Amino acid sequence: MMDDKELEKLARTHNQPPEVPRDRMWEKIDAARSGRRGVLEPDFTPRRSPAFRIMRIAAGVAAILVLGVFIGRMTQWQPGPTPGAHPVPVAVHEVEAIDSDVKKDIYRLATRDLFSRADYLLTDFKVRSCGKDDLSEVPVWAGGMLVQTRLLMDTSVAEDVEMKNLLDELELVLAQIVGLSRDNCASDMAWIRQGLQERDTIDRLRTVSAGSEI
Amino acid sequence: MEERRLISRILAGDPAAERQLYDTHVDRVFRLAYRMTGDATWAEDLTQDTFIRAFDRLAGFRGEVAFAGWLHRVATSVILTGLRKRKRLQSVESVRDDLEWAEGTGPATDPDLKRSIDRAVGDLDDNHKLVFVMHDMEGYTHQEIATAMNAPVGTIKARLFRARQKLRDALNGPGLSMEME
Repeated sequence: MMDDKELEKLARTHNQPPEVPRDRMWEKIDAARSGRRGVLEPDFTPRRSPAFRIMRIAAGVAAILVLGVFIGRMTQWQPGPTPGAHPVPVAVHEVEAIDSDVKKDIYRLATRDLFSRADYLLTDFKVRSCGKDDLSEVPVWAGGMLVQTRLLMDTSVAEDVEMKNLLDELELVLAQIVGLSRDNCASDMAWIRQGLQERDTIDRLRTVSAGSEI
Repeated sequence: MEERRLISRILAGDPAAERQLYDTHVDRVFRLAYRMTGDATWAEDLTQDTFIRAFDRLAGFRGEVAFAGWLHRVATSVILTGLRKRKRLQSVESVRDDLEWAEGTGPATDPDLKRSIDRAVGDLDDNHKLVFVMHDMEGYTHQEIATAMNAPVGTIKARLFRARQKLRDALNGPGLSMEME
């Protein structure tokens, strides 16, 4: 049986390289590189500062708190158990204990509120442009709304097929905006606008937020 | 430090710096390409592609590994892609027929045995062949190969073991001389 040394020795006879044609190869490399020197290929890795991440997380947390407070306020409409007693604020996890019809109303109102703000954001977004406008805040707002959209997708609101479709669409658009690439900003925005246009998303959000569906 | 300075100059558009870095590394890249292909013109093309791609993407070199390791990562990618493309165009048999023999340049070896090792190496799949060529023919370390192929050292060792095993099996076939002396 051949050992490793013997195998190595034998293998070295395989495809023994000739002298390296340095100059000939360099001529072609040099020709290919001329005109490209000093021009760097764009780095498509999204670069987001830690501050941006923190802002996104903060926006998400804030959105959950806002939803909690909103739901809490809605519960104040219920008649209290004792006349004159102060209404107790209700946190998100306590919504389970509320009467199901009231819950539905809460979720519908929260959805209407979300759609109304999404209408503003998307309308504003449609007229902005990459080079001219400061878009740094847009993904932050979209991130907050995305959290709320996903929360509402798990509620009774999504039992209605049309509402579910609208929430799905909104989730998609918001996720696209959150992931907006700085390097491909113009093409990403054009793509998002085209989607909004084709699905008539803003008008449908406006219809629901105006109250005609609820 | 010298290499970092060269890289900075290349990024600023200095062709002399490109040539200097090319001269430092071209021999190993070309030898590897030739060992893998057995075709001088093809090896030249692969070497040129490697350096053009490396220079074009130099801004992405962050220094996590040595420049030689990063360059060999580009080289192995170019070579394996080249081999895959060629395989789609030609049968393995015709590639083998194209191989040029450098008679008289290496140690004296039985021509049958030489042909056998060539055939056996040619029959290895590209990843095993690359590891075998880099380690046993060109003297790269396990770590260098691991960096170039972006794989753990253990994987490289396992591939080398498997490649050697396959070669031994192939060379132990009927009618082949196994005498080295």
